[in-house]
Amino acid sequence: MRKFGMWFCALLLTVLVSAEASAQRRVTGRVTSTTGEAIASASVNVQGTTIGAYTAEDGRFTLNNVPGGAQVLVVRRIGYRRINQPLAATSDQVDIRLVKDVLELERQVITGTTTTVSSANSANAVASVSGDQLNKAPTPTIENALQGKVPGAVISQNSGAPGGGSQVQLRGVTSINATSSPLYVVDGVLVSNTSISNGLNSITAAGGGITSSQDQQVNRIADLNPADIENIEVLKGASAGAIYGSKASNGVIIITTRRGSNGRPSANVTQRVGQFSLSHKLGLRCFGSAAEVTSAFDAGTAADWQAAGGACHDFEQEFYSGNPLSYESDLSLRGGSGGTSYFVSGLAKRDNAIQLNSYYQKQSVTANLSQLVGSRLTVRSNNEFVHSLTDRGISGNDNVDIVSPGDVFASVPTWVDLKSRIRTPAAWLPSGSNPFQNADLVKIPEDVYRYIGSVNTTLSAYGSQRQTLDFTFIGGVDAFSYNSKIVSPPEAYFESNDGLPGTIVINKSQNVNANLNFSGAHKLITNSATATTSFGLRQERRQISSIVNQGRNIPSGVTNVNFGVVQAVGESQFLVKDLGYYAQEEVLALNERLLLTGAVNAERSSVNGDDQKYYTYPKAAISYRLPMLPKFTDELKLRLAYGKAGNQPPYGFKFTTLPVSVYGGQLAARPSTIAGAPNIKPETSTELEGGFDAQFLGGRAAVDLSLFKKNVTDLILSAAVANTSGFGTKYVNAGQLQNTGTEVGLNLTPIQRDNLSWISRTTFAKVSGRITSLGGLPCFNGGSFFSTKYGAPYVCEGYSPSTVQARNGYDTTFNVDGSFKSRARRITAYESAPNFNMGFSNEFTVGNFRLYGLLDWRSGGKVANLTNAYFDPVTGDNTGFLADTAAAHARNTYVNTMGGTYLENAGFLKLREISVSYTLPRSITQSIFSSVTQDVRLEVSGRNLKTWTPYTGYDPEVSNFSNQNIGRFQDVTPYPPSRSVFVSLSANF
Amino acid sequence: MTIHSGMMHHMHKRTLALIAGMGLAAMACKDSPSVTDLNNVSAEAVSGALTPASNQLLVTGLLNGIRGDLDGRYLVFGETLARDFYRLDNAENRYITETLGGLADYSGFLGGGAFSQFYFTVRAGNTVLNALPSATGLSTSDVSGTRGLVRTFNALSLYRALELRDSLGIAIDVNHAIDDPPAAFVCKPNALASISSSLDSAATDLAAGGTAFPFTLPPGFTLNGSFNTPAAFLRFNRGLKGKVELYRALEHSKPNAGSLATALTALNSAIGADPTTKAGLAAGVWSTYSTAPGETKQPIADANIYLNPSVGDSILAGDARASKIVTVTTRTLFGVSTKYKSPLTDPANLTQVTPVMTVAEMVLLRAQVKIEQGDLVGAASDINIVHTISGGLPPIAVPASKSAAISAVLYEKRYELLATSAHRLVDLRAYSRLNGTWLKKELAGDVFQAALPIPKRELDTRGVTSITPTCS
Repeated sequence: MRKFGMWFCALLLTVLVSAEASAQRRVTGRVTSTTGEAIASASVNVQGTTIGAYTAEDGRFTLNNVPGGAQVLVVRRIGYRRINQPLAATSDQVDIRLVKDVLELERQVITGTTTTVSSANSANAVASVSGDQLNKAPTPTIENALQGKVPGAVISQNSGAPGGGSQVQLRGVTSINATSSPLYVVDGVLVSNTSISNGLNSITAAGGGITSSQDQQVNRIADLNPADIENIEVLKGASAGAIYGSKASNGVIIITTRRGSNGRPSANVTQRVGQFSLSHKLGLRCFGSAAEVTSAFDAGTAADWQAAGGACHDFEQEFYSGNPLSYESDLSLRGGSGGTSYFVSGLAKRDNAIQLNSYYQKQSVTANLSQLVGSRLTVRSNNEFVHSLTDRGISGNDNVDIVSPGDVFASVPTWVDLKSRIRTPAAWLPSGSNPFQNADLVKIPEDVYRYIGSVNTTLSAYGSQRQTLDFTFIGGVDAFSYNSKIVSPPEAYFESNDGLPGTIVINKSQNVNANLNFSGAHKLITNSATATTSFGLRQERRQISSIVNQGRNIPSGVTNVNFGVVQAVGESQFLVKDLGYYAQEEVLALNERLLLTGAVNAERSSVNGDDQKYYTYPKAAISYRLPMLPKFTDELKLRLAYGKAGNQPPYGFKFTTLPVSVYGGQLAARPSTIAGAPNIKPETSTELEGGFDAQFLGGRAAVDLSLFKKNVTDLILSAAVANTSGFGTKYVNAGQLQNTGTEVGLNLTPIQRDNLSWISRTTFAKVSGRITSLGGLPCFNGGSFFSTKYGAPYVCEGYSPSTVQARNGYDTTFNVDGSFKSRARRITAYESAPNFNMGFSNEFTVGNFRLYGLLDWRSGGKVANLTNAYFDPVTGDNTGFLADTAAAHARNTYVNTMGGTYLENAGFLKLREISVSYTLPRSITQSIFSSVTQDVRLEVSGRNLKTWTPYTGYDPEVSNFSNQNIGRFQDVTPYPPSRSVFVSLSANF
Repeated sequence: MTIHSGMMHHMHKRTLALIAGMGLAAMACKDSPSVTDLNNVSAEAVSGALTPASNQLLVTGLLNGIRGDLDGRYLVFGETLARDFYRLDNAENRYITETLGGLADYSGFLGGGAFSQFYFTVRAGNTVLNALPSATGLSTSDVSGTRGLVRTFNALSLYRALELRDSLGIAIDVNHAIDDPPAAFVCKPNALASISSSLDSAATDLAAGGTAFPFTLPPGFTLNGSFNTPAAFLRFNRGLKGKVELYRALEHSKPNAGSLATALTALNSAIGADPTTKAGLAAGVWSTYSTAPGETKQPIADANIYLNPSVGDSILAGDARASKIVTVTTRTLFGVSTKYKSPLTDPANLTQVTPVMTVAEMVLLRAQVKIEQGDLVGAASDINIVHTISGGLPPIAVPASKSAAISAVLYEKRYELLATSAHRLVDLRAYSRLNGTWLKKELAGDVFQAALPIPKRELDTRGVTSITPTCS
């Protein structure tokens, strides 16, 4: 502690006193676009000084105290290319024209709590997604909106159900058993992306207990309103995220919400109406003749088929369609005057998803206010209130009873009319479970009220022409209450089957993440360099308290858990306290060509074995913009960055527990089969990243290339122990893994004319990972899985962390005389991760029309299609319940006779987003609407409209276990992913 | 404004900010950085000297393990391989495809299952055994009685593990620290010898165990008869001893010569006077279940469990144990078909008790011993005790052959002990009747699987792909 106190003093003493007195003048001017329109809120700075101003509504600015002599004015505005405008020694009036930055190459990249650097100088490949890019086609949640837009990100889903449940993985698998989620930071507040189980397991028995990780949990970052987002920056690894210390190893996703700006109030109203539909059908089997049924079953069953008139019900069509339209209404208002600026917005949306009676609805209100107090103190307050309510229905894995719709459809032949809500005939499902009846009767609402807020106070403690010193204090809180309630009444057919008809499960959880962040930034500008020193401390407290209550054997009509004849209660608590200190030095020199960065973060956490110990995470980076450039080249920047980051041990890994239960009224305790690790420490990720950014042809083309190598040491493992020892697993820090990869971005503007433009973006990312050591531990199948028959994650030295171990036939050995000797099952390692991912987006603007499309291509990787394992073996003749009976027969033979597996190729090409929009001519809008209308746009947009894939299941992106680091390849009768089409009308005032 | 005064002016604010910052840092440091385990009892709660209270807690934990191990895996896998059960579950075809339809996959829940649980329970027992020498507040006889009970149940756990792994062997010498090398697998004859010997040590302990155990036992120890004192519990111990010795004698690879006599002695002392009533047959140690919070519900109360058609088709007319069989709508799935279920697996009956070992089983084990000794008259007499009292049937005649006697005892055991253990799988193997000569080939891929494989996890953690058990 003392050591870090000294840091502060040392840093403060570096504040130098230096400024020369010289002749000063007042410079005025106006900033306009190439077409002559005034540009407001552009920043105009005198290069090499702290002197600057913003342009007003009319594009005009005034700079006071500009030093004498020839100067250079640096003019920046998001959406336009930066310009360095010479200012003659004698000049005090200047007009500046900015060129549109159609490729969005110019932006400020966040480098610390309060510091930023121009993207022109940034030493990291920081992916940035603007709010505009994010909202090109309406998406249920933010993670969906990022799909295909961030090179190096693989986004999978644990369910196609509405309202989230997507997981982002950046630059490969970076941990085996510790947290898998990147860190999410919203306006400086470290927010929660936890997922809380609704207790569906009480009905599905997918795992043990009241709740299970297989309950299709929603990652709570899904609560955010994408329309409020100004920008998302994705720090993909340790080299960029080191100052976030022991939470940055999986990457950091920095979300900046919209804020107000000085000028006339402007409002936007958007109304969207759309429809979700099943994107892909498995195709269920229609039985065509009595002979066919007899072959599959027997003559008696054929008589059933005949009695049903040989009917064929397309369960998929009947169950996964027909919901009413979905809608979304957005309203936002921004403006400011004097020292006050504001952004307020409201959202109301309802997604009526494809599965009968499932939906997701969200309302949010955001108020981001900023107030200048005096001349030096800025107080900003960002507040987002969200309410989300979802009922995702039943889907996914189940055991007893059969309730998952996919499982029922795999059990009941299509001549049974399930949609009539009949009790399923006992010959097919003795429990009588009918998904249509379940959808009518079983309610699973998950209700979340969330507040994310922060107060950001910035004090400009000192400012001169040459230096500034600012202190920033951010206090943030992310608090939500989660209330889920499953009401499964005794009338549901399956409920009578366990002897306890009727189930109610409630989960009441409170989550509070509180952050305090104090930082200082000193900027020293000399003629040769700009040095930015920043430092600070961050304290964080994360707390979750959940009470789960299960009541079974419930009288009809009640919704109160205390009526359950059989009760079970569970409470889980979670509390983590972190404290970190950081300091960073950035030097921009050689006429803004060279950027050197050095930083260190030191952090302690209550989850570490030694909770007093500070773990340090250094970072160093260099970038250089080459001065001598070949023909047609505008910019060429070389960059190299190195950094360390950590991944905290999961809560509780340091403890060995004594599980206690009850037998005959006596407490019963037996030692845990999991050995805790009292000395557990964070995983450490060390990343080296290098590459270049280049711009050609006057900003019409840009290429960036990054190579990275990432080593994760002290892997936190839930390592398998020989069960004969009486232990199941032990937590240890052991082993290392290494990811190497390449990311390329190519941005082009092949056509750019007044009435016609074409913008094209291509991203490519390839990551390969390898476990380089397991610290002497034996290899094991880690994470959750079913068996090597279906594919099991394999953790082993020399293998990729995303390896799938699966059966692959038999090795038969023969005696010398050629006779059969023995047969052994062959196990082969496959790769579940893609070979590479590419994204292609193109945007054409013709007059008032805009056409935009995003293609997302994933090459390679394997997925275990356990859904087929449900449909295939149900008939006696091995032809199964899917329409393609020949394929089912072949799979049955392959799996049962030849010792094969259900792994399939999971590559795909998806038309992720497509939209056509038309902006009404202003003359029309102003006559139809009102004179204050700026523009009105009509848009039709679609998401996931088409997928080309050899994969035979619903969607290779959905995995039953995608909320764990490894094993995200197990497809078990999921809620099918959907496609959507929305029509939007958007008006700006 | 002059630079100098400006600096002075701003230094003041900076100092304030600095103080504020340092204050915050100090506040941050004041908050204790530690967080204890908020969700669990710490293992440290029982890491000190064993006390009567912690002894009670841990012994009940061990017995809860013994109860829990009679679960839907051990019972269902064992009884399916023995052609008593079908578990027909649309969500999980492996209950059929990997038992009667082909070999169990060693990495899945089935082939890799019904294994670790027994070792977890053994460790619960060893935790008590390791702590007993330093116990406080327990008398010498308390310690001895505790040790006798724990050793008996550890022997039972290892025996259960062996029932499902058979000739693949099991690990026996497992009382070691987590990071020690894993215990060697020993072959079945060695494992049985070792289990038998530890039952004798347990018997010695029980004999010195005084008049009462220093803990309260669960209700299943007094549900049918009283087995809740060291002396009374010794009967259970001897019954188990007799069972283990019988199968030592029947072991194909290395039949143990003296075992039949030892078994007979042990079973005689366990049975005492021949039972004459249903209550006398039911006497023994039982597992009880409850739906109260924290308790365990009957694990095979499961709507998906059906009886193999041979169970319903083979029962003798008039056998009172037909009450264990009900006829339901025919169910066909994964290529098998049946119309029988059992009230023992009724999903509504969540508190149905299950025997751990009863006098009825001991009597039938004694009949098996007598068959091997050539005493078919004695065997018939023992079989008839169960056949007449429990089955309500007229006594059988003395079987004409050993084979007929075996068939008679297997019939009796099947209906008397249905859904209580893997006994039938063990017997079918021991009498070489787990084959197409004696049983129906259920599916094309039915290989009359005799045992479950050594789990892949066990092989992986030992860094091997197969294990050859050591045999002496």
